[in-house]
Amino acid sequence: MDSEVVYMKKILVFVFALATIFGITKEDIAEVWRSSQYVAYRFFVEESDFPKIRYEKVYKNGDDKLVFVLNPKSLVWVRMNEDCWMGDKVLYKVPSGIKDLEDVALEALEESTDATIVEGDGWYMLEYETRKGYFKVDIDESGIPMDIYRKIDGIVMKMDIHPVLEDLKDFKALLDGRKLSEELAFPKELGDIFKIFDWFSMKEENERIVIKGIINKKWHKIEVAFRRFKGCVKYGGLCVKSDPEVLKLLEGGSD
Amino acid sequence: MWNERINEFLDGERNISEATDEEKNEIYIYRKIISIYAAKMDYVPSEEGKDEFLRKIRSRKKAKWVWWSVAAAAIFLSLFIPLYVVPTVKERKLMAMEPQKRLELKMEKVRQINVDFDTVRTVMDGF
Repeated sequence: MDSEVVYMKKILVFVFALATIFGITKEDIAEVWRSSQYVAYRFFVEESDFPKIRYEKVYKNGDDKLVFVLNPKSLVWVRMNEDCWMGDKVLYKVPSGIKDLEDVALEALEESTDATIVEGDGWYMLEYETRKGYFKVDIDESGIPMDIYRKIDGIVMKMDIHPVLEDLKDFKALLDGRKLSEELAFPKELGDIFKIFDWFSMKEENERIVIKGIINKKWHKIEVAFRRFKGCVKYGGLCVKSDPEVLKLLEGGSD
Repeated sequence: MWNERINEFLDGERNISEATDEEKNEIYIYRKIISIYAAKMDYVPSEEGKDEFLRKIRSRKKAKWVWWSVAAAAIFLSLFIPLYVVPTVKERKLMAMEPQKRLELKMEKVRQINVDFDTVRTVMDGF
């Protein structure tokens, strides 16, 4: 792992050296950000009707990520080779994958067409807007974000990242004996529903899961249950009720 | 045999003047009975009377079906009530539980998932 880290750092320095000579682009920053490796403590705040605060320790190695959520409750999630697991003692496979604010911001940067880059002394400030919302990111030259800000239809999310000097170890060793189960954390169909939302919140109501969220800057609501209820349509093993726009998206698959 | 004696008077074998008072009385009663029967045999009921009579017959037939229906309903209910109305052992156990525990069990049934939604919401920031 150590030799890999040194090798990756050399590549990053090379990419930035080229970028400095030829002028930095958002593609360069996105590439360095995606392949960055770091260990950090992160503080996340979401200001919405369903506010959320999270304090966690993250190990990032390119696209792979291991996150120990320390507050408000102790839990772990890990992404290895595009497969995701979450849980506490036993980690269950997440059919939809997991995206934290950093992943969403990075994807939005890659999709963006009008990113503004302000160059500082060893850092960059990025501003861009996509259907996923407005983003403002401070990132250092090694691709480690320092602050991430996202605003989507009045919902504000902020993430402060504080890197620590710690060697990036093998994720399986860091998991400290936690079992990676092949059992799903929740049904795949539910994961497909999550994936159509750019942002969502959910709660349980009358034995139904009520998901409210934003798709393409518009608010939508979808009710999901494991058995039939009035006005629902079958979606795999689930019964769902929503507006035709959402049902059409579900029929056509996510993305 | 007084009938034979009466028959002799009625057939005209003997004159009625020869009859005793008792025999005269019996002949009177007999003739009266015959006349009543004859009147009954000649009786033709009116249309209203006929309808009333038929209505009574029909209502008796109907009553028979009502009783059969009541019996069938009673049999059906005696089967239905123990099956659907009287709680099963499982339901009785569920009812005896603490409301919170009962709710959790119910929710567990609905969830059919290994990770609670609060965990999902905690870690997922969007897609």
